[in-house]
Amino acid sequence: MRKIKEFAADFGWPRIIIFLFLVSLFIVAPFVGVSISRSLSDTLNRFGQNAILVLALVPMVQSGCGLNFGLPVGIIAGLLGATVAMQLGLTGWLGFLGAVAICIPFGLLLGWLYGQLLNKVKGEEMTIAMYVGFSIITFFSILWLLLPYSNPAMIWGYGGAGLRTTITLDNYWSKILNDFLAVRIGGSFVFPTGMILFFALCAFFVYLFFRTKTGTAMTAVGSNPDFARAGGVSADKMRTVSVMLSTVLGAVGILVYQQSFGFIQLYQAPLYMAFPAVAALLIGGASVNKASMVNVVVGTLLFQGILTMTPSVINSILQTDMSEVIRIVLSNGMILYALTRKTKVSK
Amino acid sequence: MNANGTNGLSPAVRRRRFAVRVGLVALYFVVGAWVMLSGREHTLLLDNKALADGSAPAFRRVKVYVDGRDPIELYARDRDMIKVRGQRHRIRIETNEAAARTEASFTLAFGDDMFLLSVPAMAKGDDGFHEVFRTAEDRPAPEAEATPEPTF
Amino acid sequence: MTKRFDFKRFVADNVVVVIFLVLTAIATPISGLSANYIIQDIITRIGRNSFLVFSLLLPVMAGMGLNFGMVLGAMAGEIGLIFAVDWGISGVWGLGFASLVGLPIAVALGWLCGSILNRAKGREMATGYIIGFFMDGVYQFAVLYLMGSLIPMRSLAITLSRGYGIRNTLNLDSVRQSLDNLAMVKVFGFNVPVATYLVVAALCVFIVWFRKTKLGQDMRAIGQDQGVSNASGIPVEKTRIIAIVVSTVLAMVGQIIFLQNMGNMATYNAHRQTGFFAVAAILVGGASVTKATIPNVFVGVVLLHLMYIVMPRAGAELFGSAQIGEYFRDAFSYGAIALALVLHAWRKRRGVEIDRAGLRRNTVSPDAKGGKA
Repeated sequence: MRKIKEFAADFGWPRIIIFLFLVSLFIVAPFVGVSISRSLSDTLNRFGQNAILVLALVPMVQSGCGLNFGLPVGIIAGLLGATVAMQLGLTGWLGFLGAVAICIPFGLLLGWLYGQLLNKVKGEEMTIAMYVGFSIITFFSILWLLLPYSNPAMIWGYGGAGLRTTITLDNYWSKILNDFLAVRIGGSFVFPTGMILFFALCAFFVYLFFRTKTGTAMTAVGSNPDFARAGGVSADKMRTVSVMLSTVLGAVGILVYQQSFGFIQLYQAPLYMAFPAVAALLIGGASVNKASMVNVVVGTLLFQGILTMTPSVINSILQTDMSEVIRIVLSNGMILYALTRKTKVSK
Repeated sequence: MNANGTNGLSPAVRRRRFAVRVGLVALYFVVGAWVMLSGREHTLLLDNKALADGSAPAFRRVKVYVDGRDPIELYARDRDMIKVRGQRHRIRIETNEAAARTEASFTLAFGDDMFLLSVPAMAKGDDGFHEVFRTAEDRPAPEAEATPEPTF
Repeated sequence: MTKRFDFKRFVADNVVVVIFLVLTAIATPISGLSANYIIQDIITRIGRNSFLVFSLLLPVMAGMGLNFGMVLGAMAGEIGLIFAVDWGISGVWGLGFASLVGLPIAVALGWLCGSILNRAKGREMATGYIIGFFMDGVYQFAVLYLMGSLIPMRSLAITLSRGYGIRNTLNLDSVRQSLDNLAMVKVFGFNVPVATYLVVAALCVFIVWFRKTKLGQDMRAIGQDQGVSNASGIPVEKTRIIAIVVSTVLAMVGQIIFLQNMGNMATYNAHRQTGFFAVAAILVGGASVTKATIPNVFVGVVLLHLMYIVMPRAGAELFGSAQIGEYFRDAFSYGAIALALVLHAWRKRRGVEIDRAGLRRNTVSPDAKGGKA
């Protein structure tokens, strides 16, 4: 009994409630005519779609920069990669990998600038990150209109200049990872092998990175800055590296998201994309200053599972679409919970 | 902070503070009720039609004053709409034709939005010269009537 | 300190204001809008927005940063207006009724918000922002599902045809500009909503008076140093909650004033941008996270809204697209907030580092600086 209590306190009641909620949704689903196999398939799909965006938050949490509400900086790099690859007429694997290759230098550059900024504002990173994210999204909204893109699939048809708000990837690299080695079991269950593998690869690299000398130094900077400084580690440098890594992962993450979604969404669409990712990471058991690969996987599965299940199940039970309200309350409630917890940091 | 809930204040101060708080809550409800009653808007349909039982004809031409506003001129079988605030109102008419009464006060029910006021019935001296008017789509749902008023 | 006016220093201290001044100074002639049009619009917008911006002053004074949780007050005001329209309370009476209905809701929400912020000391702003999001979900639940089902609604005109929930747009015809038109006076050919201005003036007087009260003094002391305040017997947590409660109530009234001028209410979206506009305005007016004054509010409202008026037109003239102008002004508003926050954090850090360097040299015990702020 005591052990259970300890475990609950450690894991956090909100997470247990969310977990039980998801389980009960899956139990109820067959009784209200919602197909389990399709729900599982959707959940996995959404998991693969969002997991790298969640993974992108980990380096900054570990290095003590807090929750990266400035994820849009990375997203912008990804959008630049995708649009430039399309402009060059790259399609299929070449297109997707080309987009990844192009977005990485953008991500490194933007991440470096963003990291320099965050180093100047230690202790206030989160609010500032939020507004840096908003600023860059609105600033790039102007650029999407002004940059000289010319691929007719991307620009407004009727003589207007500027990119469309949503660009279809149909003839480019839509679902290229989803369909790679995809396994179909039964009528409606599809395992998106390629996408999951890609995520596993990224997660493995991040995991390996945190085993390297730089990675451990980064964690040290996050958990005990004074000790790290005594050991001759430059906190600012480590933080910058973590921000750059986070930004590049965010860029790759949005590319994976887009290929699964089938569209590139520009302008104001990415404005709030950081928030669901942050919520997912926190649901997975991360705190404001500690996150692991397990948190990413568990959190994304739980969060996306609930997002998949609530509309179908709740709608069949209550005959109304309450999923939006549940999503808002759940994700932001989780962030609030994490922000208000007394952080167990040994300073 | 001390935990006994008295904040270290003497009983007299606490009693006075409690009284002030009760007073404030009461004031809140009194002001709320006052604002609610005085600000309630009703739609008044001024109707100049002959009464159904034929006891009073329509005026050929009549000037209607409600609560000292600008007059409204009605010809036979005219109907006009005004909005009034609050429940107690005065109506006065000016006409060259025969009228048993040219001035009256009336009170509208708080809960109803729209009233039909018959000018000939008022001039004839009838007491019930206004009645609740309901358009088809504006009928309140039955459960709304069954539930008590929310108190704020 | 020299008495001589130091231009460089002035610019460095007010860089956000200066940037906005330069921007609007460039954009205004390009927009081609007439001075009369712009002045009339500014007069209207001061009346419409300044009350909302004032609601940010108290938490800044109490050292809690910019209260993004003010949107809770905006929601309370909207609920008040829904009931005023539903019960057919019209004119300024309707606004009074809406405020009375909103008052207990705003107090409760403000108390809740303040209590949560007390558990998140040091990151009040991010937390307040998320509280706004969280409560938006709760608001949606209450207005979309409870109103008309659990909470009785009278008017079929404002409820959805399915029988419960409020329509997406609430028509505020019954209270539209009732406060503005209560005493509309023509001054040099401009319509000035004197009654609204009087309400704002009364609020200014209240704030000036409040600063001098015991509570106001306590708040300022807490804003200076929580540890010292606590040691000198000021109930820190309680005072912080009161600051947020007052701020939420003021935002509630502010939102009602804002919406009566607009005349329509987007039931589920009207409050979403309220915090952003208010925060942008006060920062553009030269306030920082720790210092905000009444002139900051007015300068900010005028500058920000001047840009909101001229930017779309300037964009249309320059690029042939009003959309670009709108993105421009959004980018600059977000950018102004980011810049102001960065500058403040940077200055604070510079101060801390100088302290720290001094401490290392003199090997003074770190506790000498008092408790953790």
